[in-house]
Amino acid sequence: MLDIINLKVIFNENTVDEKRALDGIDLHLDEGDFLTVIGSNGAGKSTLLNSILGLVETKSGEIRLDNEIITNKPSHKRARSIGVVFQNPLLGTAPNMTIEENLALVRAKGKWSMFARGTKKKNRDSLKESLKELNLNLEDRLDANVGLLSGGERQALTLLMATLESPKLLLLDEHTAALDPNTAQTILSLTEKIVTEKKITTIMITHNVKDALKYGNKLILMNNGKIMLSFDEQAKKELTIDKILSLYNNDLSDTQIFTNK
Amino acid sequence: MSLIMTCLQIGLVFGLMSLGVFISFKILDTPDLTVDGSFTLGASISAILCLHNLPILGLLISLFAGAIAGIITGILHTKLKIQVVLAGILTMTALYSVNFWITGRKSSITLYNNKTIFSFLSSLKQIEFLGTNLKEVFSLLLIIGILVCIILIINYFFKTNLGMAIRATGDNEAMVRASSINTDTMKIISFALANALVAFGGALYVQHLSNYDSQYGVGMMVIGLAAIIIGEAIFKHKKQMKLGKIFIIVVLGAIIYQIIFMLALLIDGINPIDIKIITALIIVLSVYVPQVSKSIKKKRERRRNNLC
Repeated sequence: MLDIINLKVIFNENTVDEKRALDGIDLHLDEGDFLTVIGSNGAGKSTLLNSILGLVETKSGEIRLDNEIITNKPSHKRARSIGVVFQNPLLGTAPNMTIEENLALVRAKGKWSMFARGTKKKNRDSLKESLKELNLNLEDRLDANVGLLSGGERQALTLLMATLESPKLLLLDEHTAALDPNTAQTILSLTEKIVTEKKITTIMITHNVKDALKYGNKLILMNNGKIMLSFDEQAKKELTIDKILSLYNNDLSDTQIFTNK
Repeated sequence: MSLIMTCLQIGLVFGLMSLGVFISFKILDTPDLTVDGSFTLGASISAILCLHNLPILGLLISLFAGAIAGIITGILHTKLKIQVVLAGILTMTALYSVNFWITGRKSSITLYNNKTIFSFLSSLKQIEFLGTNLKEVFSLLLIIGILVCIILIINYFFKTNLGMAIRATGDNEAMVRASSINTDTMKIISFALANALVAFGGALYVQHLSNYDSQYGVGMMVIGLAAIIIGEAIFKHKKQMKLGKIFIIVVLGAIIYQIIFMLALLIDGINPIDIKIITALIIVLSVYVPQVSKSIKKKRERRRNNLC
């Protein structure tokens, strides 16, 4: 499904600020896998997602999605098969457009006919159906501008938009980090529900070890642009928070950035 | 009366041009300084074709020429990665020469003896009507007719998939890219559309005045901004408003700008040289006054709440 082979990303190459953001990443995901990624700040987690998305230039290596090499594909073309939710709720939606228009925009990712009306009455019901799943009563506010929604509502909407067309791959970059704990849990369980229902292969970055253990069937721990530890389905089931923390402690000293609620 | 008539007519023509400014400045959220050049571009093409008695062709070709000017700015900005303000200025500067090529190095052309889209109304000039004449009335109606058509077309356009993608590009570029849409293309298209409207405004302006001058375009960007700012300050009360209504608001803003402008010119001692500083003052006031009145209102409300 997703294959990453010896991927390297170097920032500020040949200067004193040179940083090997990704230093030879090898990763394989099967269809329907849900991978959680943990690691300290600067470990290269976001860079990994951004290079899959085509937002950063890669130095060497290869990214394959569904046996297609996408390493040099422009990002807006990759977006056809990749959905993404970033940490900042403001990034995923257009604030001065209505909920309906936002959803309509992603509805037929890149396949729409230019001069057809963007919002169609006959699509309204199916949009309402999908909004109902969020349990936020957004289905009654189709004509409200997204800018009027709260951060949590916007993030839920972004999640819905990212998964509306069942992408091959869903990337979540700490998508609950800017939300309060309750909302974060709602969004996380929503994520799990949507991902399992639609069988979308998913990569989720989180700083919360508990969430990393609770969700998904695979787990990797990154540091300094490398995958330090990786756990498959069986190994992940046997993992506990203390085990991770102690494993982590042996290699590093900056466990304090982990939250352990 | 005839003064008000002129005010309305020119206000409406500037309103048309302001819609172009609105598209780049508000919808795409990027200042496009090509405007001053593309207004004159439309004007010069329209003037030359009127000299050959082809006024309607003049309007149509200026529409296309404006679009091309916009596309050039768009390409300079998105593909050559030139800052958008500079890209606009570059195109505008280049157009200054182009406009002289088009007019055969003439800096002004009079069209009093040539056909314009308004000339079929000239026989009505003799008929008096409410202190003006029927020609003026029908000219006004003709301009309104053109404007209504254009507003209907762009209003529909911005509801289509393409139009929605353009609006979203101005709103949140990252999200549009994540929706698998090429934002560079969206920007180029909206620059093209914006400048097509501006050039069309220039073409109409020349035919309305039966006169062309290479300086007509100077300050058009500012007038367009004035129309948007005045219109929104006076008529926009809700935060969320239908786009069609905002288009009308912009046109009304342009008319009000023109009225304030004419009134200012009527004051003794003000002569045409002062025009630009008056324009600048109008804009400053129309931004400042609503702010002040808002804060006064809020203060009053707070005081009232405290008393209770």
